[in-house]
Amino acid sequence: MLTLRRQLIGTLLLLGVIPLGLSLLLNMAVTQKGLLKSKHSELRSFGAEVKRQISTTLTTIRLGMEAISSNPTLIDEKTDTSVKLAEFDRLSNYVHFCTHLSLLKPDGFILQTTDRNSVHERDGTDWLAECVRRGTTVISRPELDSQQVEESGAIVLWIHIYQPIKDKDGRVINVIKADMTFDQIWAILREAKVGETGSFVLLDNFGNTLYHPKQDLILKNYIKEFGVDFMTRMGGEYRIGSDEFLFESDRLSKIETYTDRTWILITQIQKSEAMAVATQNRWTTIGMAGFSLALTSLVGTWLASRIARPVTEACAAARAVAAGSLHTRMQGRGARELIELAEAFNHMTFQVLQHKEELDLIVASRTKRLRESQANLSDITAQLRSAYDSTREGILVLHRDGRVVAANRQLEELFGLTQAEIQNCKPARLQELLGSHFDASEKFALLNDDGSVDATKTGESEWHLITPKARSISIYTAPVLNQDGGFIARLWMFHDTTAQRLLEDSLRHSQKMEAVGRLAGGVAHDFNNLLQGILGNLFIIQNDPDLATKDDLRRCLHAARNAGLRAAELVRGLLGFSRQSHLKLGHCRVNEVLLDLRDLVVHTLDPRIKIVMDLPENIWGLNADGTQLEQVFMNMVVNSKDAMPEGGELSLATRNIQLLKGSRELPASATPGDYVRISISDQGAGMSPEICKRIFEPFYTTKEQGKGTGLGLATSFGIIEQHGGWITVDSTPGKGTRFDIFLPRNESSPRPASAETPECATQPKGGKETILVVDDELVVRSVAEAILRKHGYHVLSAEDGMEALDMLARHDGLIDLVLMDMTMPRLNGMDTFRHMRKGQAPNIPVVICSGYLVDLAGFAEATGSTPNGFLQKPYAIEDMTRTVRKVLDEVAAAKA
Amino acid sequence: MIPTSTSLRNLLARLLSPIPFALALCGVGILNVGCQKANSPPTSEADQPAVGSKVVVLTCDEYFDPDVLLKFTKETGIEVEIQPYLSTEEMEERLKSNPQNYDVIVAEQGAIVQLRVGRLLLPLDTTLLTNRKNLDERYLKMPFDPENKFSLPYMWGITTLAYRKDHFSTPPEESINLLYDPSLTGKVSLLNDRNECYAIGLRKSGHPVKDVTPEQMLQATDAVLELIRKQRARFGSDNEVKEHLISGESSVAMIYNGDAQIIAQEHENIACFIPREGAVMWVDSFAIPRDSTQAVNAHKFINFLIQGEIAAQGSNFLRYASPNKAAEPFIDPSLLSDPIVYPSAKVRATLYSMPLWTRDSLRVMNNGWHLIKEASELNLVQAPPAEGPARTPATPPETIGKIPPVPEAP
Repeated sequence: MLTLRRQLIGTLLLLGVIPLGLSLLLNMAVTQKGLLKSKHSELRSFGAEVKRQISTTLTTIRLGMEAISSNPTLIDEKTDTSVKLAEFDRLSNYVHFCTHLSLLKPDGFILQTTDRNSVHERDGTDWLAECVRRGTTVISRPELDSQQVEESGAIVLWIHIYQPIKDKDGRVINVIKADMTFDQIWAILREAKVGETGSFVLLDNFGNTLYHPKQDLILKNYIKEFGVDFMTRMGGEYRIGSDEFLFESDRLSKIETYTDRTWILITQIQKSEAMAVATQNRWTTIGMAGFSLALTSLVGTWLASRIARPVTEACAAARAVAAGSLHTRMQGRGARELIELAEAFNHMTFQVLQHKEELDLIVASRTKRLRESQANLSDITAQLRSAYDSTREGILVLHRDGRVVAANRQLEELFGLTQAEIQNCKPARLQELLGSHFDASEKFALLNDDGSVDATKTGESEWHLITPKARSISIYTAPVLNQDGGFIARLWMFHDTTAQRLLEDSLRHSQKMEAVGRLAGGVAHDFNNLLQGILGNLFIIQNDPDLATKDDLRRCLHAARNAGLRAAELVRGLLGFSRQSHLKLGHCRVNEVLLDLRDLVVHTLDPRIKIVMDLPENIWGLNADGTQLEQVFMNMVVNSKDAMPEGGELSLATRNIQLLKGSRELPASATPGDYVRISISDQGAGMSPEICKRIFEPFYTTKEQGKGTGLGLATSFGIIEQHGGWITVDSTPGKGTRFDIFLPRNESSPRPASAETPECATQPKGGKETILVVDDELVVRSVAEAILRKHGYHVLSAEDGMEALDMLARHDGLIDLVLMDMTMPRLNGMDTFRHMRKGQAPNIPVVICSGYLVDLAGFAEATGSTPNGFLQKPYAIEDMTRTVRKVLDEVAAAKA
Repeated sequence: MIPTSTSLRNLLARLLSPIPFALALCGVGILNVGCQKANSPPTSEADQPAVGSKVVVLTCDEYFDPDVLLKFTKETGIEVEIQPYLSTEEMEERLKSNPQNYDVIVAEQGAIVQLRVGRLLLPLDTTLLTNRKNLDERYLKMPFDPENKFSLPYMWGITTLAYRKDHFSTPPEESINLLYDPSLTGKVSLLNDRNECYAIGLRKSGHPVKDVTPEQMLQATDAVLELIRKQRARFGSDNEVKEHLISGESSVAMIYNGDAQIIAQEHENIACFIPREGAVMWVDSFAIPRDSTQAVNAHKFINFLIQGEIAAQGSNFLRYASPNKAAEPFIDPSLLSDPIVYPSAKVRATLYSMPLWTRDSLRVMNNGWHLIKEASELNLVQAPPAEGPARTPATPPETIGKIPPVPEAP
């Protein structure tokens, strides 16, 4: 916005300047145009004059040559050659316009020459040929003498004038050749002055420079050099570097040049010189205009200040009020309007002052409240910050424009980056930086394909970090919205699930094992029942004197029985895996077990396999079933042997090892403490990680059909778990396999070796007592009945618990012992036993007989009493009769 | 290898050109058009460059494989007109008289210097010469055109000495001293080339052909004069020198290696060698005249000829070495293994290329050359039964196309 004062001055200036400027411009344009026109015309006339001089010079030379050529001695055919040559020598003394003169034959051979340096024998130029053909004077194009340039560096153009000498009939009999420098023409061009900066340029019609004040340009192509087509442009302007030239061009036709080329004569002058008068005129006018402007502005300023001063004062007062000085008062003076303005203004400032004071009070109270809420907010922020930093998840928040809003310490640790690295990244680079750590790096995306931050998606996905540390990561992402639901940023949470995944894997594995164990147990139970039938019947047949007279039959039966026994062995193996066989726990020295094992296997192994034992003496004792352990180690050794068909080293080692909480070797399910580690390693083929995962599954085998049951390692797994231990396997394909078995240390002191006397191998005795056989399987029941009867017992039978209780009630006092199965319909063994002990028959001895493993302690706890004996199905006849006899004897002894 | 003596054949052709039978005489293959154009009067309406698709090549005689030229025409549609010249002087005169009449010239290094300082050449446009990379660096940036602003190499060769085996009882020493052997007086032929002769003179007086002082140049002049005065050595064009050897008039001669190779194959009595003092290694080059009206087509022509395979075809035809790296795989193995054409590295090290003389040395040289030529003419005048100047052209027109030995004046 212009001030009043400036407007006034401006208006005055405009009024003064416009007419002045217009007249100035008009004046300049007219002067310049006139000047240009006159300069061009001047150049043209200069050019015409110089052209005339050049033309005259060339004509003079030609006429001189013609004069020589009409010499009567030279044109007379009859004159002797030597006379002609003498005449030519004489003539050459009078010809001053040229440097050398030569007399040529029409075919070019040089008869005489004044050029003593010439080594040429003849002239073979087209100019000579042209001269002979046309019979007229021919002048060569100006050319450099290269020998001269080479020897002295002088840039001198030469022209050669060929003048025919004709006989009376007009035949060319000789040619006079004059070598002449182009200097005469150059002198004309050099000396003709066109002002201070004016000069001439001579070109031929190919653009070659024949004269230019600068020698460098001689014979260079002037047209190509400066890009001006002097052929078609007869006048105008052009530039050489920063210099601008006015030029006029004129032609010398071929007839005028006597050559085969037209020449172009350029007359030029620097534009600055040409326009000097116009420039001077312009400066004078500008000076005058400046003076008049200065005068106008002085007058304008004086006038404006007179009119504008009161207004300026009012402005100053208003500005002071605006700046906060509300006590400012305006002085009313001068015109009446101005006094009224001052009064109104002063009233207004008073009002404003009052309002301001009220407002100040309100602002103070609001400011106080604002401070309080700010303090609260910073407390909350600090809390949030500490939560954000201490959370176990890595957190990354990207603003919707892509910049990093927040990245906590956990994120840095997870990806091994620094805060600065994360903060200074462009979004695409950050995506690349984080993505590079994942195994599926190309799928990792922070951004949409177009590089924007996604505003809607919410989701969680699983990822695997490979660097800086292998980890499982769960990534949760969601948009961050403001109160109105507007998208402001995107949140990513990186949760390290490595430990959780390990635990889940371990749990899944143990659940699987549990299920398989249960299945095996069930199979074993039914199997045992069947075996019992087979074996029992075989026994009966074998012992029947009528049937067993034939030796062959007996042998067959014996074989069948052995097969049955082996099947039972297999089932025991299954039960061992499913933890349903009896462990005979006792103090066990693992080194001894291993030494025994070595003695057992050393002869059966391939001699190329070398057994290395590393068994320190101070190995802790274990509470374990030595036989079962031997079975486990045997399984391992057999596996190792099979893995080394070419031989190798089989190493058995034991170590005491203390596993603390958090120890790497301690599985999640085990309790910290002292353990003995038994390592069995080989140098065999090794296994891939996939096979390693499955080796403890029952019936999983890599051996060929019929060579392995697939139960060896599964059973071993079961046995070791029953002992409260575990097995780990470490295998590298091509390098070998190592099994580590961890077993808990036995806390108690070693018990003296069992004093249990070996069982009497005598034939078990029979008896006359009454025995109740309870079993739901008819075949088992009848076998038992048959055996007992065979041993002299009186036998009753029942097919389940209900019937058994019924029989006990009916034969009260007659039954001396109950042989009872556990798993039965209607009322099972345990419930039947409880009923018996609680009421009907508290004192009748009971022998429990089962295909399952029976936890006798648990059984006693559930029923409140312990059974008198236990038989594991399938049982040998001797075991059964011995146990029955023993229980009966113990009861009888107790009564006595 | 550009001949420097006046060409009788060319002269005749040009003198007789208006006559139809002369046209027929020089009209062998593609050469015919050349004769016609060379003799036509300067174009009267040459104000504007003519539009057409033809390049006129000014080159020494039989210096192109006709098949290569046909290939060029077939590939580009541009016709080629060959204008042969027989001496460097002739070439320079023709070019000076009508620089607008030629589009490409092929010239020896000395001529390139003359044309360059005479400002008769057009600077080459390297953007049009895409095959320039094929050229071997060893033959670029030579003293005669240090930046290759005006020329690119076409062929290179060596000036060797050839001799008649049957004129010697034992094989002669492989040295320039052979030229000075007193027993060979009157039996020595030299190329009519100032630079070649001075190279011999300089080596004879024990100076390298490089950084020559005026004093050394004076000594070299004496050494060449000795050849003319004492040994009565004769000058000749390359063809004449060949004929001297073949006819047995000369026992020893300066000769270009390609020519030497061809005549040695045809005549079992002729052998050649590279003197142990070293020899001139020369490079013939392409250039474009200042006023060429077909400059773009001229560049196309040069660019075509420096293609590897094309360059090799030329070398195999002419039996000269190619300065083209890309040509090597296509060059006839027998040529590649010829020690006179492609000498061993050891021999190569003794070769020298012509330097640019200093102004002072050049003045001495030009004066000396004048003396040498005078002495040579004196020999001819004195030589019985020579009568009248030997420069008189006396070759009958029938012999055009096959140069006879220099005629002994009757």
